[in-house]
Amino acid sequence: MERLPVLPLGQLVVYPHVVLPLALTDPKAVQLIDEIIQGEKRLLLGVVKSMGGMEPPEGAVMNTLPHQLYDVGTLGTIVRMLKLGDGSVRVMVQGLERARLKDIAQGEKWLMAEPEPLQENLLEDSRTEALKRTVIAQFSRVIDIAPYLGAELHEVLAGITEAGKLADFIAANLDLALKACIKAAVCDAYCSGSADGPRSLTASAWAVQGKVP
Amino acid sequence: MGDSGSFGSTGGGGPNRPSRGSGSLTVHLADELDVYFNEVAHGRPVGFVASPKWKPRTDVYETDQELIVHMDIAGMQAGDFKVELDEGILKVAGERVPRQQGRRHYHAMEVQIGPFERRFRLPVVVDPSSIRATYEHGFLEIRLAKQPPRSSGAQSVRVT
Repeated sequence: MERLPVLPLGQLVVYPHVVLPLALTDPKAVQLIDEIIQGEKRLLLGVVKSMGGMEPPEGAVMNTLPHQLYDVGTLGTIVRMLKLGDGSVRVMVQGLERARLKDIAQGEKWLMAEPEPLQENLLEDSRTEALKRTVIAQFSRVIDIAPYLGAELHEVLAGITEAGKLADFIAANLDLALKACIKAAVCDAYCSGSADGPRSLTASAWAVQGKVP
Repeated sequence: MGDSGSFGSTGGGGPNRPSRGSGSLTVHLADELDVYFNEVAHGRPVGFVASPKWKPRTDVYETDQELIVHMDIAGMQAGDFKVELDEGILKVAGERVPRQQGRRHYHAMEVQIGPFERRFRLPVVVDPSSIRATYEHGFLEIRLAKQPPRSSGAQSVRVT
């Protein structure tokens, strides 16, 4: 697969299937967006690690070094872009799938890596079904009591049948600390195919439990 | 009726963050995204899209005789579409490819390219053999003849 530019993000995980807006002010990040919308509009969304107990700044962190990124990120696409008078851009990105940032290295202008898509654990057994019911019930309660979640999320929740997508949806909509986001986002990568079932759903289950009084 | 696996949503945030939900962001992302193009909304989910394929806007309506599907999809050729009707589900798919040549300097980018797909569970019984599709002035129109509903009157069944 061709190598793609990496947009390193601080304090933010873009989950697969999720659409979200980003405000980018760093001129290098703006240049990166300019570059990729000439072609397939695809990029890798990396997550910057906390280093030495210091959390990374919010937004695009363009001076990130390869070892400062988690090795799993998200293959994404730019859905819309708007350039403002001050030179900054607003983009709407959509996560497509989890991907390992293979052979990540500093390119001429920014980090480049080969996306290695990570297989979701597709095996859904009775335990998965039970976990799905648990997290759906608990997240429904969260929607009811959390003032920052709209009631229409119930409708979306009811329409998701696959465990992996359910985990992504819930994790994206919970106000998780970055570490918990990372756990939910990359667990599948490490546990895929294991006898323990889909760990990302388990991660979501404990994350939801932490939110329900 | 509607796409399987296509939905928008509002999303999360924090206890101290303003609500993102207008309550109306449930059908088509593009309609409402302008609202979220501001710094306050940075990094907050505004949609959840199960399929990586984009979804052209489409009207589905009935006349006395027909069910009509009217899709807004400019920049295609008639032969670029794949239209299938199977088990009451109409699927329309294709790929819009970029037409521009050379390097561009974008100020705004909203036109979606790449593979698209929409699936509709038809709301009325139709005659599958009547399906006709035309592409003109940037709109794909699919017409299907409606069939009268089956009799729901009492029926006797002979036991053999």
